[in-house]
Amino acid sequence: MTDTVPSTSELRHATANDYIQLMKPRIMGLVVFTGVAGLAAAPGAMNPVMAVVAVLAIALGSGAAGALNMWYDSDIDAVMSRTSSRPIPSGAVPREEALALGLIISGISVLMMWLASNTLAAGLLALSIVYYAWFYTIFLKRRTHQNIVIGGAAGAFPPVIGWAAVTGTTPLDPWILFAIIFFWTPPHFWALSLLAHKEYARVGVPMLPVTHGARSTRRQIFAYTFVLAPVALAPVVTGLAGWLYAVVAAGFSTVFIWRAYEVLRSQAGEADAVAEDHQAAKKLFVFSIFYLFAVFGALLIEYGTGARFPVIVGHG
Amino acid sequence: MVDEGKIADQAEAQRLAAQKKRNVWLAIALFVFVILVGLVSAVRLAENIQSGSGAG
Repeated sequence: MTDTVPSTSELRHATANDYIQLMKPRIMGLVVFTGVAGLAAAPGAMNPVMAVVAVLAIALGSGAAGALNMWYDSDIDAVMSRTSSRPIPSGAVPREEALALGLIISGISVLMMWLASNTLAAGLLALSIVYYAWFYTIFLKRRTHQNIVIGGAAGAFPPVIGWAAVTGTTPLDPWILFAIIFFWTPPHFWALSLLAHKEYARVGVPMLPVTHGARSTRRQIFAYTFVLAPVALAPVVTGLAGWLYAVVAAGFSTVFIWRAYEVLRSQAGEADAVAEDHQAAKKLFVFSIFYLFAVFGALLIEYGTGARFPVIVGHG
Repeated sequence: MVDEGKIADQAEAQRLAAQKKRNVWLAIALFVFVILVGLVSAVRLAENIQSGSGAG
């Protein structure tokens, strides 16, 4: 690791917001949203107090993993312009404090999940934290260009955890929700890395555009988006989701594929790329966030309002 | 020399103020955690009593 993290004398005084930023609140929002969807879609009822505590535990688990990620990656964060203002490289929070915060909150989140639900949900939450903080951040990220593909599973756990919190089991349906996030992650993240590949190259992180070039990345983005579409429609086939979800998933998947196709045709990530090419990648990245919210939002609406009308007769 | 002393005092005062703020947030977080554990325990007890598993 390079010595680019501020020394103690360079530290500025941390505010509460610095600690919130340490827990990656934007990722936390997506994690909570998909976790709540899994919790709502699971058969059976959960005491509302326990459900709130379980969701809080998922949020804290995500925050803890984020803090541990920032602790380990503080050296490369300091070099990359996109991340140089994060709490550790900016000198607001010492590395050791981020590590301590991450470890303590990890323990608290798993304990709270265990108290509010069951051992399976708590175990899955612990697994997801270890998967992201250790397996992805420490082991995969700086070793292989498949870091995002394999590591993406960490962010896919929340609906499974939510489902397990209610039922104490993990049948096929929550794993389909897992698969949606799993196949969504590569096109989402590679769209961003097409824009920031020079920075990744500078810090030696082997993201796909760095190791295999922009052209190969654009092709892989399109391939994963193409696979994502049928996976996103799988809940309709199993009866987990109804008409509303089917229409939203089909519509948004079509637009997602179109956006990925635009990126495929563009020169995004190339040395001679123009503003339009970068715009295509940026549009795909922004749309991918809307996509996940829309798909899981549709599922939430169906279960929240009880307006779930099965597409395939016999389900429901 | 006087200015340097003043600056040092101000920096120390700022450090203490920031530390005090953090302590308050930490206290609030601990308080919320204790309340949550208490609440979860109370709900679990009520559920067990309702289902009859609490009776010896």
